[in-house]
Amino acid sequence: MNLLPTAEQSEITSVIADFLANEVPIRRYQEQANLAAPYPAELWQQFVELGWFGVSSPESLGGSGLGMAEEILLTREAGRQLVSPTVLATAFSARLAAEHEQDSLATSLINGEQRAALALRTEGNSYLLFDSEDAEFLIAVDDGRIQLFSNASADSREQLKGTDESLSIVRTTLSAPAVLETDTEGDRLHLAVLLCAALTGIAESACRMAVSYASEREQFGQPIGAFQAIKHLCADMAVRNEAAWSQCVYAGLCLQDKNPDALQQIAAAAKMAATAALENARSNIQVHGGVGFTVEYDAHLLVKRTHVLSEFLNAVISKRDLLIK
Amino acid sequence: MNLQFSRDDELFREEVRQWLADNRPQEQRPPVSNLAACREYDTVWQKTLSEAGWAGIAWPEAYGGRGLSLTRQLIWYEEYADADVPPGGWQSVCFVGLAHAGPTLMACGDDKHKAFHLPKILNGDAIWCQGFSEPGAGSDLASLRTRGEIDGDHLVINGQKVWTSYADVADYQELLVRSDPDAPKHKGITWVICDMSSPGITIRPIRNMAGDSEFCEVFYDNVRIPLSQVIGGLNNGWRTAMSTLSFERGTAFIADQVELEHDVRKLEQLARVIEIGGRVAIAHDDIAQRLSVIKAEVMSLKAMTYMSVSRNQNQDMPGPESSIVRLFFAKLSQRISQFGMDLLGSEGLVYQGKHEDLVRTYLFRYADTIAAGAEQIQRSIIGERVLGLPKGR
Repeated sequence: MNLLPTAEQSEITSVIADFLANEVPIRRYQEQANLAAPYPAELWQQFVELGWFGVSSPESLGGSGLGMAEEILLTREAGRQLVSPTVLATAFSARLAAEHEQDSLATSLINGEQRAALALRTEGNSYLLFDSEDAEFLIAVDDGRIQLFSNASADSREQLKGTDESLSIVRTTLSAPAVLETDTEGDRLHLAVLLCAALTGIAESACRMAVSYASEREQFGQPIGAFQAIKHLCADMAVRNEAAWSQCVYAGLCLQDKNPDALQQIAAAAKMAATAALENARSNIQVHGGVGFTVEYDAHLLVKRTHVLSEFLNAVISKRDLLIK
Repeated sequence: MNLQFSRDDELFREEVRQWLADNRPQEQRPPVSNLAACREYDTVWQKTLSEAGWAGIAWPEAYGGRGLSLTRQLIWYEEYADADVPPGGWQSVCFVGLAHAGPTLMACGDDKHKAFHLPKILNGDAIWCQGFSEPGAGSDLASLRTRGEIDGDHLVINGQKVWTSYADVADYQELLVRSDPDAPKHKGITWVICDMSSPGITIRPIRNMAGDSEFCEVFYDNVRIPLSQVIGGLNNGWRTAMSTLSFERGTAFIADQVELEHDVRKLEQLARVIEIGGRVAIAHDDIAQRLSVIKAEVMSLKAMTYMSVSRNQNQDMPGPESSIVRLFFAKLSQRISQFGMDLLGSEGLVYQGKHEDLVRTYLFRYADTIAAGAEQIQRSIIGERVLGLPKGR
């Protein structure tokens, strides 16, 4: 038993963290006019070259054959920089296709020829699509069932103004049959773990942002982080991070090991990750004060993305799963 | 990252489980109101554990331990919490010796002290208490004023300590005194072994809000302690004490963390049978909601405990991250015991009979955010030493 990353896993994580910090830092949203522009092909290709979309898929399909540990470490890093959920959706869909022996589909997602975006069912066959413009597929969760739809089959698209302006949102209906459909619990739980990892990344990003601002910003003649009122807000953020991340790792490994209480563990991870992300994002704005309330700083984006990912997580797993005996 | 215990670890777990089932004491622990009987009970049990090789699982072999990994120690605590055995952790009179004084002697003591004291701590022959806090030195421990004046080859102690658990049944005390009043406050403190049978010591038990009296005030009137009992060097007591406090915030509370999970399991069972307004408690949405959150949190506590065991298994001294687990544990333990009280409803107003233990736990948990560093102190440690925020003026 050892919940810390191995030396090799830490190495992979730091390469990924550097890549994301250089290519898609949160700050990018300050510099582009259209926040929700899809990732250009060259950028997508860089993710492909890092092996992002095939981390846990078999090497015979162009994947890396790695495990849950690498997947959640990567996904947490993506969460920190608010990487488009289409990256998470594509990686998950590739793994799903491989698991269900749809090899050519898996390969085309792993090698970057095709993308998958997240689709959130609102009611009936009505869905909200996020960052779906350049995606060939949509991955949707509905009552324990996971479905992969062709994006081309979506009708009556309506572009909406999103609460999270860093994502494009389209309302549509999906009536054509799914390309791939599964009600295997393991598939659903796998998606839940990835969403937890992304939310944990947001929670940690909020804490780092708050600590960095509190160390620089001065009031009453000293950095505000020297005041206990601010310091203790930050400490509580660190506690939430440790709880959410430890539980995410524990739950992810339970799933990988086919541990019988994986469902409960992941439901717990979901609760901890969603709470940590929102509470930390909220505290981060508080630490920033007035500027945290503006769009000129990144703090608000963490709040907004948290709501998007939490809605997906709610569709995948619920707190009630904790009380199942 | 992996969650799997090795084959040998699993065999060890089997062995622990079987031994605990075969050897658990037949009698219940006496009530805390009878401390002398508690001492007798706890030390007999400690000797049984020690003779079977279960005391000091992660202590070095040189000091009478087994020299096993922290993972094995964790397994022991997990099985211990699940077995029907006397309460472990801080609830045993052996706690201070095992979790504080022993590790401090290992880190800072000389061979003579180690050889004399460590075996007695392990086998329950000697009970230790802690003399750190004073009426004027709580969170600001370094401002302690109990004097230790050098007189020939002795320290002469005058002053007062407080919150000393089990002082009136202890044989020794890890005592912090002001040995150089002119030095900066952290530099004039000495850590010394005080024999509790020394002339000049007066002990007054204090009743806590749960009605028990396991902690005391201790008064010192010209108590003479040979200088040979100083550990870690004269005026170097702050550093010596910090090695102990790091343990307190690290591995010492694993047992309590593991036991909290056990408490939640019992409360879930209770919520499925106890009635509120004619329906079982868990049928109420708000109760179900709170229970699900508490379960998520106690699962996280276990994951955090595993994370800190992972982090600490390759380092001698736990880092400041252990304050994170301590703070999370303390706040959670209070939410859990509050939940227990709410399940009891009006029955929680009766402090005897069937639910006495739940009420005692509820009342006792108020100490969790105060003892071993108040929650505010823990937050400052996390802010400054984990996150690197600046110190205040």
